[in-house]
Amino acid sequence: MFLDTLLPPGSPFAKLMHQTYLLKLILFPILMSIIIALLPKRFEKSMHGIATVASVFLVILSLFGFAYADQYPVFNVDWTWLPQIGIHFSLATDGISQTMVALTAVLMLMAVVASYDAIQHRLKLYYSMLFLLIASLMGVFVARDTFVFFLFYELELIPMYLLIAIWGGPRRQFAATKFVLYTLFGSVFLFAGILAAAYFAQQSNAIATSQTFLFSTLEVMAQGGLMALPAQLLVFSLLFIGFCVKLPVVPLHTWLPDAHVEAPTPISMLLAGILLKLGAYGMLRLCFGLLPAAAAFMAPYIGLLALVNIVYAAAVALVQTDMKKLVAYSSVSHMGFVLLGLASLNAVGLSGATFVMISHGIVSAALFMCVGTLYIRTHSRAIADYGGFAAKTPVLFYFFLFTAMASLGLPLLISFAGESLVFYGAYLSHAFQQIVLPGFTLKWSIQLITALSGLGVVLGAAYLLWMIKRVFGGVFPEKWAALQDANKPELFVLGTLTALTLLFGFAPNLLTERYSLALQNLARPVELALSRNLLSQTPVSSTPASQASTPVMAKALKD
Amino acid sequence: MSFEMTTAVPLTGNSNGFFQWMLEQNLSLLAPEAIILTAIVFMFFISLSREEKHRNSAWWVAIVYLAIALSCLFWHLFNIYWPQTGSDLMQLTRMDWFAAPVLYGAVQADLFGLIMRMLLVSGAGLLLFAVRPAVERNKSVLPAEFYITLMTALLGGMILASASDLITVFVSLETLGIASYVLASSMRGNVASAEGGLKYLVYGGASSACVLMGFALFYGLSGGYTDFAHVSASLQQMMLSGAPESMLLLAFASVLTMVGVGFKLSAAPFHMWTPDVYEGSPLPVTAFLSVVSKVAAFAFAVRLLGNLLMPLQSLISMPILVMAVLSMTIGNVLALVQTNLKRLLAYSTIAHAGYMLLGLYVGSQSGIGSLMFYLVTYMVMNLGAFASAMAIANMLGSEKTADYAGLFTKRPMLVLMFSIALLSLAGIPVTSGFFAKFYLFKAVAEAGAANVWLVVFALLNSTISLYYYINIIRLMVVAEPSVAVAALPDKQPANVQAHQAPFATGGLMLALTLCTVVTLVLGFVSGPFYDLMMRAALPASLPRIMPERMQANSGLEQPKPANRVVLTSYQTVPKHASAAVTDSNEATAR
Repeated sequence: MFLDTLLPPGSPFAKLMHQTYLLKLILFPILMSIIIALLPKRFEKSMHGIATVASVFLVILSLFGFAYADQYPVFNVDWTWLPQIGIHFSLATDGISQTMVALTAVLMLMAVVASYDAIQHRLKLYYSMLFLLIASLMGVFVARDTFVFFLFYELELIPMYLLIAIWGGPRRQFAATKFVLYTLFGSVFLFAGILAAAYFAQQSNAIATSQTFLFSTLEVMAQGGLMALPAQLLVFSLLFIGFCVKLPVVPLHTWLPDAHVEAPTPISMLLAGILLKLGAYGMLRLCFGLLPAAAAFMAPYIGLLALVNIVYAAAVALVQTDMKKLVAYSSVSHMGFVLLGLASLNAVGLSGATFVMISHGIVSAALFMCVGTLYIRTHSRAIADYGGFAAKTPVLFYFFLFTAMASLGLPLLISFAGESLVFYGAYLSHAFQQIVLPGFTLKWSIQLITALSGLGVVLGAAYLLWMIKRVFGGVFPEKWAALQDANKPELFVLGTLTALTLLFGFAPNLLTERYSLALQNLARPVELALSRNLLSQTPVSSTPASQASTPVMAKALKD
Repeated sequence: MSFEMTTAVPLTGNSNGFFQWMLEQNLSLLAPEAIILTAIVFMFFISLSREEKHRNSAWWVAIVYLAIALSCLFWHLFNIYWPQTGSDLMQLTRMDWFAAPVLYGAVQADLFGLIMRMLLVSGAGLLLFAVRPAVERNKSVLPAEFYITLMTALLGGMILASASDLITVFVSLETLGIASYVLASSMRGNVASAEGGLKYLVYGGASSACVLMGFALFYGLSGGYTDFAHVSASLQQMMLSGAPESMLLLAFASVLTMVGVGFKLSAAPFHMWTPDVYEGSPLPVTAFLSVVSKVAAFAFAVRLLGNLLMPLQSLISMPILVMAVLSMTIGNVLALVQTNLKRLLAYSTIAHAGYMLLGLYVGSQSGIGSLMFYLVTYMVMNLGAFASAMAIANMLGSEKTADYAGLFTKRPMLVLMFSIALLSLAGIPVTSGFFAKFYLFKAVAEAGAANVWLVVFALLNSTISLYYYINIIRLMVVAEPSVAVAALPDKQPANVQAHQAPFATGGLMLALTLCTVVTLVLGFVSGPFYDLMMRAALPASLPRIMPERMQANSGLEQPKPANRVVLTSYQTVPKHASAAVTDSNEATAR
């Protein structure tokens, strides 16, 4: 490890880095936010530079942890905060957290560079809010106490609200308010779930009252037989509904197109790149990681939701006339793949879900950047206003096409790796053979759902390529004759994101090896819960499907 | 259950002489009230002066005396109520139960009352700092008289917070009430203010009549007692016997009493007066009604419903729940459409009363404890909101939320502090408002599985409330500057008006800063304060009979008095024993 040579493990500096790493991760952005807010007005002009330097430092900081991501957690903070009710200020990272942290930092840098052109007024407030947003995101990804998790999850609301409401498009205030109200609606359920979990922990005699909110407490309760299945299901459902709003899952998704359309480009990038991942990360970490038995029970319904998400959102994207809205719906569709990966209940599927989280983070940020570069030139998002741009702006065309290819899952690009992992995991899964709904039973196995989800990829290719044809092909409208091609900041952002797309597309294992240890730990109880479910439901050799499942089950039971 | 509760057991031998009587009656525990009373008299003489400069100095008197009263309360806290360091568990428990009857049991000095009085005094002090520019700039308000009335209301509230006798309760309630009516109409020559005051007087008078009728019934039902311990004990006996005619009377009496409580708390359906009175009164008075008066009202409610009427819990818990749910819903929904900041804060007050009533509905130690914690944070954050509103009104001369638009560009710090207060009111995490709601809802959920729906309902309600709080922030930060804001100078001029004391606006900003800091600090370190509240809630949440029962059942020794101060500890002595003690005293005297 090259890091060991830079920072010898025993050296005092390395120790200091290790001990304070997590605090720096959260405190540095908060500190930046305060400093920027307190700077006098004359620094307004140099604000872009200051923010860039700070976010470069943040990237370095996150890459330091990323280098350690493949090991057992090396960083953790555990302070008793409110012992009366069992709240710890507990932070730790493992591979998954660290990967998300690195993604956050990189996208933050991209967003800052994208702001050079997109944001022109009230820069101090803008960057202050942006750094506050990043601090809360970092906090969510490293929290190890449900209460602390919730605090950071909520903290993100205020900066996000202002970022959309001040620097957004014409209907920004409506979009921002809708975003806040939807998110709060989800938070109510999330909070109720957290309280319910704490309540069960308090009822149980086995848990010390000073630890009722820790992740590990919930894990011990759920997997150590201290919590009955109905109780687990209650907690799982409340948490899941809370995350559904953020992900978003289809009936609760309508805030997303509005927020995306009205948000300025850098904020759209962060919104699609990281904020949606809060929901996915929460599901992975809390719902599936801590409550595997409930997850095994709910998998059929999650699978169904995944299918609806993928196909419905893709179909809606097909008929959009607004570029940003189209990309927003494609985000919803891609988040369906995360759900499908989760519903497959095996290590491959969960790994695929994590990979899609990251790949979508990079690709959707690039897509929004592409749309943003066009918007800043023409101030129009309507596809009908465009045409023939390929000849006028060849560089932008190249990047747009490349990003669209990455998004629709072209092999050797980043999305392909994630989506094929999801499909592979889901197809081999034994999560469910039918979906019991009130009143009737759908005879849809997860394999069928996987096959139907393939439709999403086809539709994805359709809506993206059709949009590119309409924007870059055809007749060039003369009113845009004065347009320029991509400038340096845009080239930097698009170039970096493209490079990441290529890097992790060619060598996905560079990414998977970072989080595989953490993921194995997370997936083992899930697989175990599934095999327990299968064993209790059907005799092992009655159907061909369960015959196929035997080796997996045996492996899981051995673990 | 026939036992006699004596008011005080003399521990110091002879009972002759005034000072001896003072000691026996624990009058030192009323020292803060005496200090406030002295201040009122002092200020009254100052207000007779012809010189405006002299009359304005009443403010200084009020502040100094409030500071003395507050330090006196702190002295009581650390020397009488607080468990001594290194004490064993037994002593610790005893200190929690410390409850000394004062003046033949007219007032009960316990930790609950002490904390409420500390809240009232510090709230009034902060308020005095905050209102000074507004009061002294407004030509139609007489400053000295205003401060005197405010201090009188405070005195009423302080006695109300620790009253343990029906007569004391009524007298202090009226002291608070009448002073508030005068305050509400203190803007002479202003029609709106007069109308608000009159409305308040009419509603208040009606509710006082209801309370008095209820008290009269309790007096009769208990066979001629007015002190809480006796009334509560006989109510319990009546509940146990369960005779239908007495149950009807009990229900009637408790409904009448609860009308009064509901009015004071401005809980729905007795909330109608609130928006009108709040809107009509000058902003400083609105702040007083919404902050200090509300704390006193909740102390009153806890004493009355959680303490005196505890035996009737099966009768009164459902009405309390209905009041809580109605207040929350009506307050939050109607606040959505308000354009005047005062009216908006009035409805927000109603909604918060609804949340806090949930704690009373639960009635457990954690319920009352979290209610008290909520009161602390509510006082601080609401005072913060009102102080900001006053600062803005001083600048813009408007209370319309639309006029606040774009204020962030001109006064960023003020808007930041206002936003923190509003976010705390909305219950956004890390502010103390979030933790207050958290503790409260947790206590509600713990009380029973069916209450989870109540919690979900309350949470959804607070989601609604976020809309109108955030809307103000949105206006100030996001929207384009309004005409009034655009006309503001970029920097606050050092001294707006020459006749004003130089740091009058500075005092307002000081109060606002203090409120903001406490709002944030209580969010990060809520633990110790919550502990203190839980400790104070222990006796308040249970009927007064409990300590004796516990002592009788546990077979523990009667606690000895603390050796540093000469006080009688709260205890019950059967009638014959008390007679014996008196006899022996007389014998010694002879």
